[in-house]
Formats: sequence, C-alpha cells, structure tokens
Amino acid sequence: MTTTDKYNPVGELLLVQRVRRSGDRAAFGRLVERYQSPLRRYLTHLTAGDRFRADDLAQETFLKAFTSIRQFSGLGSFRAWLFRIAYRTFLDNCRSRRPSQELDQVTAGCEMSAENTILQSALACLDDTERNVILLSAVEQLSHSQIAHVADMPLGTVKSVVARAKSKLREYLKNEEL
Amino acid sequence: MKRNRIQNDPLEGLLAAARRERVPDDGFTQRIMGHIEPVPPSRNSYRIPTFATAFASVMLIVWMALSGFDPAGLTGRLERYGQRGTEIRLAPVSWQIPRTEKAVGNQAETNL
Repeated sequence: MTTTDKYNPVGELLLVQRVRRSGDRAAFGRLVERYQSPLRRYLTHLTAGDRFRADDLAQETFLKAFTSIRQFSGLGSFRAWLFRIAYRTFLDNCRSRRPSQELDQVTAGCEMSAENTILQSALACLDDTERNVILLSAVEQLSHSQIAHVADMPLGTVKSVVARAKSKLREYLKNEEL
Repeated sequence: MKRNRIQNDPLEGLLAAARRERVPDDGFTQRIMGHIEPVPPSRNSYRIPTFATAFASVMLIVWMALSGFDPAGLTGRLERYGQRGTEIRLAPVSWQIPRTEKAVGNQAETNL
C-alpha cells in the first residue's frame, strides 16, 4: 500500500487487530508502509533535519510499537498512538545524547528542499514543546485532542501553544522578510 | 477573503509544502521487518487452568456415574421419593403436636 492510498480507518483497525491477536508480520508491514513517511518526516523536523537520526528513531518507534501493540486499546487513533511512541523515543534519545550534539547544530548530510530549509530555520526559534505541537498540528494534521494525548498536555494548553508557535513563526518570517 | 489571506501567508505556504513532502521508503520497511521477531500465535496461557478445572470436573462426574458412587443412600431416597404420590396436598396427612422441651422431660421421667 502506498502513502497516496485513501485512509481507511476500518482497514487499519483490522490490520492492528491481526497484529495484536496473532503477531501477523505481514499486517504490521502494511502499517509500516503506511506510516513510515509521515513518521520519518515528523522525526526529521524534530531532529532539525537530521535524516539519519530520524530514521534510527523511526525504526526504534516501529519496533516498540510492534512489541507493545497489545497495550493499544483500539479505541483511539493508531496514528496518534504511534506518534506518541515516536515523541517519547525522541525525548529519551535527547536525554541520552551528549550535550554537544544540540539540535540546531545539525547541518551536514541532509538534502532538503528550499521551503523545508526555511521552515527548519524558522522552527529553530521555537522551544521543543512548541516545535512538537506545531508539527503535529500544522504538518501532521492531528487534532488538538490527539496532540494532547501525544504530548501529555491539557487540551487548553495545546491550543495556546499552537497559537503562540504560529505567532512566533510569523514574526520570524516577517523579520527575515520571507 | 480568508482563503486569499491563507494563500498569501508565507507560513501557511511553508507548512503546506511540508505536508506535501513524501519520504520515499527506500527499503525502510524491509529493514524494519528484518528486525521483527516472529511472535508466538497465542500467549493466552491463562486459559490452561480454566480448561484443566473444567476437564477435571467432567471426569469426576463421569467416574462417579460409572462407579456407582452413592453418598448417603441418595439412590434409595430418590426411589422412595419417586414412589410417593404426586397429588397436591393442601393439608398434612396427619397432624402432629410439636414436642416441646417440657414434654420431652416428662417423657424421660416417665420412662425412669
């Protein structure tokens, strides 16, 4: 299945159930195919464009998802559940990294479009929480309640962080005259 | 108006471009699948004691039936019960005055 296929929540739930009940690897493979692009894109933005690190984090995320898929209740969104694992994996990775390896120091080895480069430099003016919330909201298009679940934040806080982050980004672009 | 404002917003343009970006798989899925260990089909081991208890109960009933196990003469009592009349009685067959402690005591004295 390609990423251009129409989203089918029932089909997705059936795939998740097959993995949960019998550890169906083929079904999990289809879930990986479906979500590898948004998850790697999200992690690439979170890691300031470090695609190699993003791929490692994405791989760790999918492996964690496979081993703990029985903890997924099936009531919420699988996509939000996956992004929650990804964000926690990213935070754990940040804690275990050396202080010299800061996010805004990553430049080499990344091929990005001009627009993505501008967006990346604009995102650098945000703190970690604002960057995460604006990416989930404006790029990955998760609902505010899903973002609250992913980031472990109250719903009202998510809304205010989204507004503040957009305001900061607009201010940055205005100052850079873009 | 609002659509024009959004279209002219550079931030919205950047975010829309980021949304359109697709990361090619390039063997990523294959790499993930190579790391995944096959999981046993069922880990529902909690069912084993349940089935064992049910099986033991059935076997006990079968053994009792085949061995003629008859606790407290249950078979005889059931047969006697079956021989009794099945008509509905509105009053007892014979009235009987309940024995009180005093009556029991007097009877004991009489016997002495």
